[in-house]
Amino acid sequence: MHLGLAFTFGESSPWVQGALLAATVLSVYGLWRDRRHGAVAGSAMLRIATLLVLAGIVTRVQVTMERPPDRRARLAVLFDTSASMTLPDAPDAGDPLRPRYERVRATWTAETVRALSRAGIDLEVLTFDEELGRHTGDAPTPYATAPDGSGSDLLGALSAMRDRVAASHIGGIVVVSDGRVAGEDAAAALVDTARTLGVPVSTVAAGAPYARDVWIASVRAPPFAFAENVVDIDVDVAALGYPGRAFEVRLYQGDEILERRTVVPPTDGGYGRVRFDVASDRVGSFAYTVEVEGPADQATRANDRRTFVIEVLRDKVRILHVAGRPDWDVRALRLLLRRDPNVELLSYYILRDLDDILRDPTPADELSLIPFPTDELFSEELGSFDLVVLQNFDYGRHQVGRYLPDIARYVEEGGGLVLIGGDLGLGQPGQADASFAKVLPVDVRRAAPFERRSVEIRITPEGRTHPVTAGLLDASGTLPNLGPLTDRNRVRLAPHAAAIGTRVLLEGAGTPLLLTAEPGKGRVVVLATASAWRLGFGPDLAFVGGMRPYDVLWLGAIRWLLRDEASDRLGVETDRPRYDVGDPVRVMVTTLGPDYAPEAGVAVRGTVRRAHGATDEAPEATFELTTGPSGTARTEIGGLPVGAHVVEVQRDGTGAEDTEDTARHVFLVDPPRRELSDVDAREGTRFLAALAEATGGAFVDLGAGDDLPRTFPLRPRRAEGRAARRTVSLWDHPLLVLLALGLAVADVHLRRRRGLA
Amino acid sequence: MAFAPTAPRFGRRAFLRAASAVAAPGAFGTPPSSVVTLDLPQLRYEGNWNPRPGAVVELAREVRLRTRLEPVARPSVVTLDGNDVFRSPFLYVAGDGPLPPLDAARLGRLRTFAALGGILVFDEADGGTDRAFRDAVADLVARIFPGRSLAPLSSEHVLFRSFYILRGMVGRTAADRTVHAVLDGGRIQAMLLRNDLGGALARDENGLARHPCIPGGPAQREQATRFGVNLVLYATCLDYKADRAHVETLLRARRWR
Repeated sequence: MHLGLAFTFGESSPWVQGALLAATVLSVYGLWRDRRHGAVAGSAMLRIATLLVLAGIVTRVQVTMERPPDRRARLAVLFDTSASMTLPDAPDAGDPLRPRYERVRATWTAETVRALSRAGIDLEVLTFDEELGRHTGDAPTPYATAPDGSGSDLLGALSAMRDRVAASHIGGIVVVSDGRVAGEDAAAALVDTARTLGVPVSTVAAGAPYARDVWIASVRAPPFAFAENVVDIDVDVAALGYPGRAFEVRLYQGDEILERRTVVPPTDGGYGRVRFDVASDRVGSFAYTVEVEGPADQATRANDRRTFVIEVLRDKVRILHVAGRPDWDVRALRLLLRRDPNVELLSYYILRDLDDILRDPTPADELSLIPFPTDELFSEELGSFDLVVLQNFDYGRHQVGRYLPDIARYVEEGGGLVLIGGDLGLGQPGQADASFAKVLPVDVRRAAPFERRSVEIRITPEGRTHPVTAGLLDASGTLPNLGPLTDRNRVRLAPHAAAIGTRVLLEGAGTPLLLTAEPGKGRVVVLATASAWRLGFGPDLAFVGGMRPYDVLWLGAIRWLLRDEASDRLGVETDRPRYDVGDPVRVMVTTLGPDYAPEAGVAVRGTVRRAHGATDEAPEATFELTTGPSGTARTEIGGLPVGAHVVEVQRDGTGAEDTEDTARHVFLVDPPRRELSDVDAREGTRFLAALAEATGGAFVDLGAGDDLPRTFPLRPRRAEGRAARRTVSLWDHPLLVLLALGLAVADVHLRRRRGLA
Repeated sequence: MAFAPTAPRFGRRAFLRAASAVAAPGAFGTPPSSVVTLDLPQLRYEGNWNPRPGAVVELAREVRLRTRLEPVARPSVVTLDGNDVFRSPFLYVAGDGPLPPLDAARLGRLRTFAALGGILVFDEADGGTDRAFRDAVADLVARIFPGRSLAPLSSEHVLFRSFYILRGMVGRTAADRTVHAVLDGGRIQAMLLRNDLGGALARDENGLARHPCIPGGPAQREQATRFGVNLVLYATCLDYKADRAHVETLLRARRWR
């Protein structure tokens, strides 16, 4: 650094200057007088020093340090250190394949750096993959070893350069990359970001147009499927450098090969498609893998496999809907159930009874009526239904009474039952046999009169957290005005209500309106009104999340009755569905109490296993957690290998066979080479050319044999002609006065020792 | 072609009514308050809104007589001035001339009514002799359901077998047996009946038919009544009779016979 020093003097009072002159004359006179006694030299030195210090004070001396302007330019060079730089390619089919980073290493040499230095350019060498870093080695590039970054976040790197450009006089940027830096969506954002830097961004394309590789380009599989229903999985396979060659594509579940297909990818850069058909006979999350068998000389094997998860749900939900007397409530529920394509609805409505037949003896062939197949429904088929809805149905009649024990057993063994009020079902007590009555939360052996009256709906504390009714609350936790219902059954809780876990969720006019119970393994909902349809048909409906309250209520009820995952009281999930290998997997466990409020203090133990490992295989990780006040507990799991994994949790103290208290979740750990999903460099090269053009930078295509230029475009330096300058005042420093005083005292002391004072 | 006026007579219908009145007292009166009832409201508007007085009362009575449903004895009359129209997802609109213009608020209520699943039944009292009501309904439907219009309903539609098996729609007249409807995924949102269903149903205080049914006489009236029953059954049960179990059972029964 070149530093300049300059002294400057200020103006002072003539009296002060006169006093200094007088002191100087007196000092000289004293020295002349004492010349014969020796010690003149030492005393003279001290007096001169004292006078100089005093002169500095009097003349207000200042020191100015000046650094001349830096006339060298600074260029930031960003080397792409992602794994795609290791892919081998060549300018043409006859040329030897060469990894992209080696192509750069052979071109960007120490001589390149020296040449740029001679041209007045200092380099700031940086690296980028998923992070921006600084190259610290002595080598001109960071490519002494093969790069292995799992991504190429050039957008993030350029954004981070904005501050550096502003602060350190960087006049230009050079990006050395294969251009496989981002998806097409991000290309425009990248160009925009580069433009805002205000400096030319030159690009050096490391890729070459010819490569040899085959890879899985995409997999289209539905995230959900129904058990025993066939789903199609479409796999697109792409290839470069193998014209006309056929490849085998395999579908795996775990290590088991499910299906094989052959594909000949087109040579024009398109994809060859194969289709697999799979049908799972089990419910749950299943990981599948597709793999193309590539040749040994291909660029990489990292893009030959893709793993994905399909959530297999139960087959269409089968609902039996029996209504004793069609009305608007029947219409509303049918409308709702028919709207859901996943519901297979079987309906039987009693359209007329014996009295009607007597009054209207129309021949059967003129009527569109069929017999009520009670035996078939309630004996043979009952177990095939996921849910039975008895809506204002006088179940003691129509020869159904004898099947009530079967219905009770169906519920206790895990079935769902809904009882909707009206004058025929709940309104006619004494129809139920003892076993049927025991699975119901309301007393059906006593009168529950059907009353037509205005009924305002009130949600109970239990209803506020229960999955059936919690959805009715608005964002502030308030039950919106649902408008009055127009009737109710005045039900009473059954004597055994507590024993079957009865919850009253909604009340009206002092009696329960909506109740749930969990007898045995089953679930029961009782709705003690026939006018719930009014929650879905009115001029001023309080829509909840865009849904009518009627829909919210029934969808919540059906999910709970069918044990939809969202209504389970133990849940486990991960913060992401898939991870890059090495990333920590964050697991969250949630527990709800019997009232579906968050349950704190629940001990949970969990394991993480390979999704398709052997049953006796040791878990990859185990953990024990206790839920906090919010009913949640979190943990982080690291070091999981590539593949599909399942995290399974269980309430402490329950058996493995107790599915009620077990939850599982499947997630994927991807290999680090997702970066290598596509080896074709041509698109990246085009992108780099566009980036350079948009910012006024130079474009160098190493894959096409371009040489590096002697210099790169730089922004004109704004700092030129300006120097860094610093001025320090010396005269007003207190030490200066002390110094003058000290020198004077030393002079007096010396003279005394000589016997002159 | 000459038409003979239908003479009132004490036929099977009257006998059944009388018999059931004896057998089931209260069946023709207001149902007890402890029964789930159906209201079948009729729209009152400025103009001849009730060209066939008592038609809806008779419809409710026939449905109550022949089925397990319990329509109220005195269906309500509603207007579009307030929210009365939301008493029930069923609205019967009769007329024989132009409909009055609707302001935005009234039109909005009808749109909301339809959007929430209500069914509109327009009954052309002129029986096909005048286009005024038909054209007015077509205009109104176009405003309620923008971009859609009334279209002929297939004779295979479940409306024609929701209780009785019918081959078309007749009323006081049989000029056009086709029902014209607006559908939403197969579900009827609005329908226009051109044969004056109300005219076939309406009876005087003595229980006698107010209007002759032309050209079929009593048999046509019975078919009209059956259509009315089907109409209410469809309104409450929707496409219940199109369920696979019902269709298969009915087909098996026919083959067996």
